[in-house]
Amino acid sequence: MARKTIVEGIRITRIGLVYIVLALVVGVAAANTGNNALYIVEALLLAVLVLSGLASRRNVARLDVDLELPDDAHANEPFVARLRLRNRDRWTARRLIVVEGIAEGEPVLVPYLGRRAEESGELKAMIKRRGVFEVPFVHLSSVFPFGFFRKGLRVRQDAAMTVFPEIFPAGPDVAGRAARIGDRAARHRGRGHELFNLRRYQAGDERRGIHWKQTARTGDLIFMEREAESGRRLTIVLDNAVGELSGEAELQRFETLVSEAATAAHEALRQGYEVELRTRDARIPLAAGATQRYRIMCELARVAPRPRTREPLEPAASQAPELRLAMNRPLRTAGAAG
Amino acid sequence: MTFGRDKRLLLGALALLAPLPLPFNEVVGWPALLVFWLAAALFMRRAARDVGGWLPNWAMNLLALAYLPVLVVDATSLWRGRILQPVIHLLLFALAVKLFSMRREKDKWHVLLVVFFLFLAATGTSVHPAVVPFILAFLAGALLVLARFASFEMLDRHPHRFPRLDRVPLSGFVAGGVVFAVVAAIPLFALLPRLRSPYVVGPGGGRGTLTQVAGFQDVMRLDGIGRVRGSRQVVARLSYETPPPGGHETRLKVMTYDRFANDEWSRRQRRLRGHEVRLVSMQPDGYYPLGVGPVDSWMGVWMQPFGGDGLAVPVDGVELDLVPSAVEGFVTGATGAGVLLDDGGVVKLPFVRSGMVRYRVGLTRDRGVARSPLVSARSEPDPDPGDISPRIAELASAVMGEGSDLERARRAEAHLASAFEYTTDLIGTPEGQRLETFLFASRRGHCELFASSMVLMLRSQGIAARLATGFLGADYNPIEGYYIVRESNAHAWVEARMADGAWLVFDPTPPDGRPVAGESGLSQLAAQLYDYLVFRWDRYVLTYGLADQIDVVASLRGVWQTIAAWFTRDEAAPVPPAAPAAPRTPVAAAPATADETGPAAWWPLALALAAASAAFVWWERRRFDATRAYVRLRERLRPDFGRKLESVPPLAVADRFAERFPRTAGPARELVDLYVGESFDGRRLTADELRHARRLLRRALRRRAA
Repeated sequence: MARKTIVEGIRITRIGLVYIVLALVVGVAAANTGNNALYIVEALLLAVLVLSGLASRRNVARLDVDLELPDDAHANEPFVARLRLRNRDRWTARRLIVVEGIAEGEPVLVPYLGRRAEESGELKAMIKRRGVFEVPFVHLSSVFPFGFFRKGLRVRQDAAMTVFPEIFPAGPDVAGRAARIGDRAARHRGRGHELFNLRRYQAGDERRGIHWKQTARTGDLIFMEREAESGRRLTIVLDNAVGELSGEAELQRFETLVSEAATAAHEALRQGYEVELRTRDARIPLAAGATQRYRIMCELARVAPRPRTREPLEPAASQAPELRLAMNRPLRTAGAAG
Repeated sequence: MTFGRDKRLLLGALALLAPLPLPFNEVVGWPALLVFWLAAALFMRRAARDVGGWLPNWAMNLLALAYLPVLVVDATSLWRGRILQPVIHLLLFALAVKLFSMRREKDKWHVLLVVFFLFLAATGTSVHPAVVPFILAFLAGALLVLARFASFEMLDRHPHRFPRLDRVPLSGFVAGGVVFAVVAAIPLFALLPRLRSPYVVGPGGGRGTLTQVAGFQDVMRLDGIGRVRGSRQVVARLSYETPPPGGHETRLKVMTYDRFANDEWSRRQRRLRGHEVRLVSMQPDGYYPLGVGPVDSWMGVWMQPFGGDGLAVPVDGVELDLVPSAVEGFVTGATGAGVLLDDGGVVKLPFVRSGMVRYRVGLTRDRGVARSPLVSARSEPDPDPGDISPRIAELASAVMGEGSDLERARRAEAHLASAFEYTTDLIGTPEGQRLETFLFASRRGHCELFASSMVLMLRSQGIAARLATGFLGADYNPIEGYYIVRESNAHAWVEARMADGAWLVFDPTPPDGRPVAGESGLSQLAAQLYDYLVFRWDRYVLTYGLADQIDVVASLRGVWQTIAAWFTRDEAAPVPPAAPAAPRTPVAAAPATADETGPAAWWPLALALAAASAAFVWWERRRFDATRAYVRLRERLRPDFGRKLESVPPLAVADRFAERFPRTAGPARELVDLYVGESFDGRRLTADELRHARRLLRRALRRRAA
């Protein structure tokens, strides 16, 4: 669990400033009057200041931090990370440790960590942009003991995770269009459950496919041909040859495009479709299920703008219905309901 | 205010504690403090129930206005221009009101500030060591309050936390913190710069830890000494640096009286022809001469202030050594302003003391006759013998008879000591003819009556005599090996001038009436232990000054030299015969001719410094890595990036460094590469790479200025 730590400077708070001013006032009074009772108070004030500095420094020392991020998450969607904090010190406890610096997540307070004790808990965070998200450091800070100083520490982490594109709320727009396209797909025989055709049994047909009811009725061996389930298929074509994007607005449009592709794939797969993804960089063949979803999301997390080209993006060989997404097509605003 | 109940209770407890010593120091009266405590207790009761409804700001302001006339009356009528008590009353009132009006977060800090100033006032006006437990208790309370406030603020600001604690354990930290603070405060107290002489606040906020001992002022009544004989208050402490001469008794003289009238003694004017009060200057040997005779031993004296200017000096003292560290008003110990010595042998300082005085007195051996060298042989008796009735003269004549002055004085002394009874019953009896009553009626009395009677008897027979007051005897404190002189040791005796001009000491008080040692046993041991603490407190805390700091440094230097002596070589090693012939050359060409302790004493220091430096360098090298080197390199760009420096990526740092300091581009980039490899690739640098990194850093930083 050992990580490299970078100690930050110590910062004085407003209370600490007031305390120092007070100590100065008492010191001046003591020196001006020669009253040794005031010198006693002054000595104690300074000693408490030293105590505060030493305790503050020690409070963030010998701490191990382990951050466990989930394997993946979607942009603009809260996720839960697991944090473990361990005190290696056998003599003193740790108090009021604030852990922060994990995306836009709220800081977490560890009020008390006993000697050689370990505490773990969850914290919520959210990342706005897709891609590979790394947490180089976790920031620890504390105002213990008296709030005079804030002592900080950065603990290096090797945590990283892939952030998938944002999934927009389901609506009749993209996902719905995809669904309708998929539904109009031509039927063909395959290994599904639905009946496609009844015909005479031929040599080579599986005997399991014999329709015994019809056979009994007709007196001839009747074979049942089934319809292929991949009849609900969808090809998502994302043309990422958009050239160099300038400005935040264009970048945002591209991100929205990617998110729409992700949303369409997510919805279609959820409804049992076979989905294929085609970009300028990669092609993920038709398949269904969670594994396919993961493959498509990983690819969409990585997809980046490419230089413009006049060559059209080749359609899929599967001849499945296509959902084409490109920058020159009207897009909806990210996050709007369908 | 979040955690309001807890905060109020903590502050209320601290507010109850803060003014505790004030009545003991007579700064405020018990009634005022009890009223405040009542208000604070009501506040805590209300806070514990957490009912809310605290005073709004307008009510607080109204109460402040209502207190103004009270403040005026307090300052002008009750305390007659003294400012301390009205201010303390105002603080108490303000604190009570503020406690009840604590509603916002910043109000708690206001209350804490007022509590602190009350604590400051209570501590600053305390002179008794019993204030130490109070200080420790307040310190613990203050640490707990500050730590709790910090924890409350964090718990309030961060609702998301694990474990879900609502209270952070702090008792262990507070206990350890108190111990650490006390241990750290001791050397700080010793070394904080002293710019003025120690100032000791007396009862009621006045000056000095006064020992109001009657009988040592310019005018003395006949029961002044007797009134204090029952008091155990410490007046002085004595230590014998060497065993005193044989036959030495601890008899300290403070004052003499010449004129007796209307049942009281007074000191005559000293400005007679040839008999003025002398200002005795310090001799070249650093001492003040008080009398004749060689010094056989030395006695150290730590005397509490009397409110007067006389010093208690042994009657066999012949030299005085004033230790300047505890003497107020002396410019430096080296020069000294001098002391005053009058014909009665009374030693005075040229100013009124308010703090403890420390001095040494050289004692001369008693030759078997009670002599008082602490006088001038030239001093003349007062031509006015005082109120001597014919009856007293007749008694004196009958008792003293014929013979030399010494024989006649001895007879008077023996008569009074044997034929009269010592008692303190006559203290407080009506004035007038008290001596007559003592001599002819009751034949019982206290030491002033005995001594006064003898003085008048001797004068009636033509022997010059005067009354001397001071202290007789002392209790030995075995814990530290010094003698304690208390008010109960106050005594009066007689000094009479013989035919040869010498003034001798006579003590007509019966032996059973003379001051004796205190009770023995466990109670005495407890008293001695208590006195030990009080003395240490007085000596090393209340009156600690610049000269004491110098003494501390000198002591440390002495310890160092002692340690250094362990490292020096055997000084008996043979030296070249020529060495002694050239012993005082400024440059010690041969080590044997140089001061044998000087250079050798520096070796351990040099060794220690070298070892410390080597350890530091080793530790720094051990900690050195590419990340630290990178941080140092990056720090040079602070003026460019300000507080955002830590957010600048390493490659940008290298680029900017190259841009600003072109000659450092190479080493800087290489160093950044090493850092990136170590930090982000997790690659541990080899020893060669670390050395290379150090060289790169030196080059990068050196060329920066070019």
